[in-house]
This record gives sequence, C-alpha cells and structure tokens, in this order.
Amino acid sequence: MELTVNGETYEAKEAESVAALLEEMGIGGRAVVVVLNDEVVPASSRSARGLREGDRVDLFRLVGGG
Amino acid sequence: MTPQMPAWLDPSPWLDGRVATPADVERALTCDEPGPRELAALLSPAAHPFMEVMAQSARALTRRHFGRTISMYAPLYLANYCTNGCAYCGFASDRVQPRCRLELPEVEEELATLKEMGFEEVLLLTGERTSHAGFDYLLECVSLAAQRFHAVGVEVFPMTTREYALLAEAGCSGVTIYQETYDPRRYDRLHRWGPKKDYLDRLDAPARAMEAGMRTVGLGVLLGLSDPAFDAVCLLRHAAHLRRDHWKSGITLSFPRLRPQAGNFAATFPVDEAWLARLVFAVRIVLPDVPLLLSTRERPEFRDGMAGLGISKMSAGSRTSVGGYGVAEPATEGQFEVGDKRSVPDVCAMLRSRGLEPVFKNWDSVFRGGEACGHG
Amino acid sequence: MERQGKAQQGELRDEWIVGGHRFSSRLLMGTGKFENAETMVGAVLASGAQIVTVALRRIGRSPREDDMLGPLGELKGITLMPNTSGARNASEAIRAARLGRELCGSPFVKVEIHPNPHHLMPDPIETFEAARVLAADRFVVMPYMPADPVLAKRLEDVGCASLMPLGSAIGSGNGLATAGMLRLILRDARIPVIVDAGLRSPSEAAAALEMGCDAVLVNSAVAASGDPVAMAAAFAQAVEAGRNAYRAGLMPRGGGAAVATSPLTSFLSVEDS
Repeated sequence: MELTVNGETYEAKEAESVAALLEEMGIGGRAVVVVLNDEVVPASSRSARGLREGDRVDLFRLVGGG
Repeated sequence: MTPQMPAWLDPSPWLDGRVATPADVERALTCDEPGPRELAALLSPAAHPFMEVMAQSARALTRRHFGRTISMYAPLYLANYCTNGCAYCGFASDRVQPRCRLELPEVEEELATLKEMGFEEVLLLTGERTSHAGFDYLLECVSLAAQRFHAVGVEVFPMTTREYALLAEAGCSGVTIYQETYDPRRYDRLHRWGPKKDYLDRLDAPARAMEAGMRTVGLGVLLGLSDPAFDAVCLLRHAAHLRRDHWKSGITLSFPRLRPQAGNFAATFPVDEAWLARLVFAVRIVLPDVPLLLSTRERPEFRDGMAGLGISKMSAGSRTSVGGYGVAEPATEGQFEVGDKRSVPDVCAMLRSRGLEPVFKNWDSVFRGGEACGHG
Repeated sequence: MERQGKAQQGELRDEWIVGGHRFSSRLLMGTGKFENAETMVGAVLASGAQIVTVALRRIGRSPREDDMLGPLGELKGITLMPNTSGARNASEAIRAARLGRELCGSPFVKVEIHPNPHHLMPDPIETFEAARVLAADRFVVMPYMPADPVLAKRLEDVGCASLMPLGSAIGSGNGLATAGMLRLILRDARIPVIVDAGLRSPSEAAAALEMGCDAVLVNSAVAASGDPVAMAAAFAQAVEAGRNAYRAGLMPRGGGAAVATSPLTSFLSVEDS
C-alpha cells in the first residue's frame, strides 16, 4: 500500500492501521503526534484507525526550540 | 453600613506604618516608574524641603508632554436642582436658594456666549438626577452643545453604561465625575442623603463611561474633606486601574479645593496653597502624560504660577451659577465662589506673557462617530 | 510603580501566576541550539526553569534520530511549552499549537510567527489572529511579540495569559533595546510580562527584572555561550538578583537636588503656608 509519509512516498508492507505503521517504521514507542490527511489521530484511537491507499500521514515530534 | 473599599483601590500598603525619609523623596524624584509609593513619599512631610525641585521636575515633565500650551475650557451650569445632601455643596437640597434650570433656548444663548468668548470645549454641569433635569434633558443639552462645540463634557450624576453610550452618540466626549473623597467612612458621613450616598456606584461610574466609549474621563477629589494624602494615593490607584482596564480612553485629573460657599461648611482637613501646589507637582511627577486641570476656584496669582507647572488645562471667565453667562443677573447662587474673576482675554494675555499658548481646540468634532470607541 | 507595591506587601512566597498556574522561577529556558541533549538538560537543571520551550518538527526518515527531549520528560516540576516556530501565518501557528498540545498534554503555547527568515521579527497581525483563536480554544497563550504597548493591550483583550515582548531582535544579543516601550507595556499590563529574545548577558536579564518584568526567557544566550550549564546558572542568579532589587527599590539616580536661581514657587508665599 502506497502512502505519503512526511511528504515522501512510503510503501507500507503490512501495516493496515496507524499503530501498525508506527511499529513498522520503528517509532512505536516514541512520543509522536500523528496527522492523517490533515486530521490529528489521538493516541487512543491509533489501533482502530485504518489506512487506505494514498493516505497522507504526517508524524511530528518535539525537538529543541526557543 | 460603611461600604468596603475594593482591594484595587486601597492605599494602605503605601501609607501605613512607614514614615517617609528624605532618601525616599529623592528616590521618588528619580524613579523610572513612580507609583503609589513614590506619590506617598512626595506628599509626606519629608518632601517639604524639595518643593522647588518638585516644581522644576513638574514643569519639565509638563513641557515635555504638553509643550508650551494650556488647554482652555469653560463650565456651563445647566441646573441646580438636587436631591443629595452633600454637606459641603452649595447645591445641596437643604440649602435654601432659588432652584432653576436653563430651558433649551437659554442653553443655546449661553452656548453662543461661550462660543463668542472663544471656547471650543464646554463642560455641562447639573446636580443630581431630578425630574427637572434628568437624563433626557441632559441628552438634549449635549446635542445642542455638540452642534457648536468640538468637545463636550458633562459633570453630572452617575449613569448606566447605556446612558453614557447614548450621550457619547449625541456627541459627548468626556465625563467628569469626582469621588469627592475615597475614604468610605468620611464619604458616608458627608453625603447625608440622596443617590450620591452610594459610594460604590459612584466609584464604578468612570469605568462605565469608558466602557461606553467616552474619550476622556475626569477624576478628582474635593480637597479638604479627608486626609489629602490618602485621597491622592487612591486617586492615583483609581486612574491606574482604569488605564489598565480601559486603555482606549484617556484620564484627566482635577484639584478642586474646598472654598467658602453657601452652607458655611468648614474643611475638616484644610489644604493650603502650598500643599495644593505640592500635590499637583507630585501627581505630575507620577503621571507625566495625564492632563491636570485647575479651575477658577483659585486666586489669579496662584493660577498664574501653576500654569505649566504641572497644570496643563484651565478654565477661564467661569460662572458657577445657572445662567451665569447671560446678560441678566443670574437667579441662583454659584456652586462655589470664583477666585479668579478675570476675563478670558486677560487670562490668555497672562498665559502668553509667561510663554504659554492658550489652546481652545486640539481635537476636531469631524472625527466624532467615525468608529465605535468601545472595546471589542 | 503600582506593580512594585504588591511585591512589597510582605508576601512570603514571591510567586507569579500565568494562566492560573503558579511559578516561583522567573527564568524560562529555550531548548534549541544546544550541542547535545546532555548539555541542554544540564542547562535546564542549572537554570531552575519551570517553564521550558520546545519546538515541533516532522520526524525525519533516518531510523535513529537523537531524541533530545526524552530526558526532559523525566524531570519533575517542568512545564513544557511548545512553540509555533516555523509558522509563517496564523493558520499555521494554530495548527502547530494544536499538535503541540496533543504531544505535550500542556495547554501552554508560545505563539511565535516570523515570516521573515532573516531577522525573525514577529508578525503582529498574524500573531494577534492566532492568539485570538487559541485563547478562545482554552490555550494558555504566551505570544512572542514586538515591544508595542498597543499590541500588548490588544493581545491582553483577546485573552492571552502573558505577553512576551522582545528585548531586541532575536539572537542579536542587543539586550533591552526596547526598554522605553517595555516600561509602557508594564505600566498598564494586567498579565505577566516576560522579556523574550535579544538578551546576551545575565546583567541584561537582571535589568529586565529590576524594571519590573515578571520573567525572562533565554535560549541562545545560554546555548551559544562558552559553558552553557554555567551560564544557565549565572542567568538564574541574575534573575533572582534583579527581582530582589526590584522588590527592594533602587537608590536615587543623579547628583542630588538642583536649586533654582529664580524659584518657581515664590508665588505660593502670599496666601497661607
């Protein structure tokens, strides 16, 4: 399944949910916020939230800033 | 029951327990952002030797913010009906004297006379709200005045926000309302009866006027009624409070001093000229950008000396009786005795001789109503 | 000044309140531009800061990015305040703020909108709009803003929790170039005023507190110093010194009272006194 993750094309191997995508990308344990097609997906509903071909996923994390 | 002073007004943290020293006065004179503490120091006995320095500072600050100009205005007494029992006032309801109001054609005549004298700013005055001179009457008078004058203010009874808004719509740009004294106990004793007995309602009126979009609100205390240092610190706190909450309106301050008038009320806390001058200097030092007013209550020599020395706005040629500007002898006694009876040209000549320009108009009514002045 | 009096009424704990939260430290720290996470955390600890700003970025594709902020989350008593840096207009800032809230679980947001990437001066119009929307959405809005007293009142009116005027251009190290405007902001502010940006040395932070500012926020001045941990501690001391000096009241300035050659007050002698 082809997705756009953080602006780049990403070929998801097996992941069919947001939670599975994070696992697949190796960032399952990290504090991130997920935006699916411009909509925030709360952490509690990541497992339930399915992905479709062509979805845009943006993943944000905290970095240092002033 | 004596009303409670709100915490934002209470001056006691700056007045209790500590006697100011000369060092406190010096600090107050050079402080970057002087406030209640500095005002209290400048009004303390320790500041007495600093009179001349305070005067110089007041003149420099006045010149910096207002230039070499004095704004001019005239009071116009519309009516002397009153239901209040203010122990110190010539209009109090128990004073036996003729009561009347100007009918609208008479108002027009008086306005025309003031206009001929050169005024562009007029302050309309009444006593308490009565059936003879109530809100509707006032509104009509404001409308008349706004047709001729660029700036119209009222010094009347406290109103609701809606009433203030209606006045503003009719062309009123200023509301003057003195608390007289901020000491709740003294206030309660001096205001023997009538609507004015409501300390908190009166205290809230300036905020309501600003809420309604008035461009300027005039505050003041009647010096002589209470401890003047207490009242001065309250006045400053009231002004600062209003400026924080209603930043689109301006504040002016006046320094009326109790003078002999009908009723022979003697000041409990008499304020002499030197003290009044020091108060003006001190307030100028803590509020460099606020117009400070001096009326014709004071004698000519004092007014001449104070012009530009803190004071930035003056009345001249004033009559304090109803119909006072007309040719006929006024039917009523004045609210207070005028100390400076000189004509407008004489006062202007005096100001010019001291290097000050009398300014009759510094705002044009053409801007009025262009945009709502209220918040939001 | 009025604000000073409150501090002098013998309050035992000299705390300040923003958005209903009480803080004792008056130094806020940014976490950008540090060479590594260890130094950054060391500096934050040394600063005693209770509010720490962080930024939001998209995750890169490299599998193992250094997680600079991981250790911060384990520190007790620190409120993370996400900023909206990178936003060039109000809608971008609003979006960034919502993501930040999601990520930090904190209602605090530093609204920071600077469309020009060179001088990074805040856009007052976009900042106002973003602050209005976010305050209505129950954020604790802390806007980074030009030192403009009118804008300050406008931001206060729409419900901001504090004001964060710049001392001088961000990263310039020019100190309190806006001192005159800051005084006007302080005079009428009903909410805390925090100087943000432009500071270089602890003495400038002390001067801001002496002037009556409620707090300062520093980042570059610490991160780009010779020893960030030591500099953070120095800023903490300076902020405390400045605050104490403000509460104590400075001594008079200048060389004493001048005496006039022709007295201005001679007219007073006639009546009474």
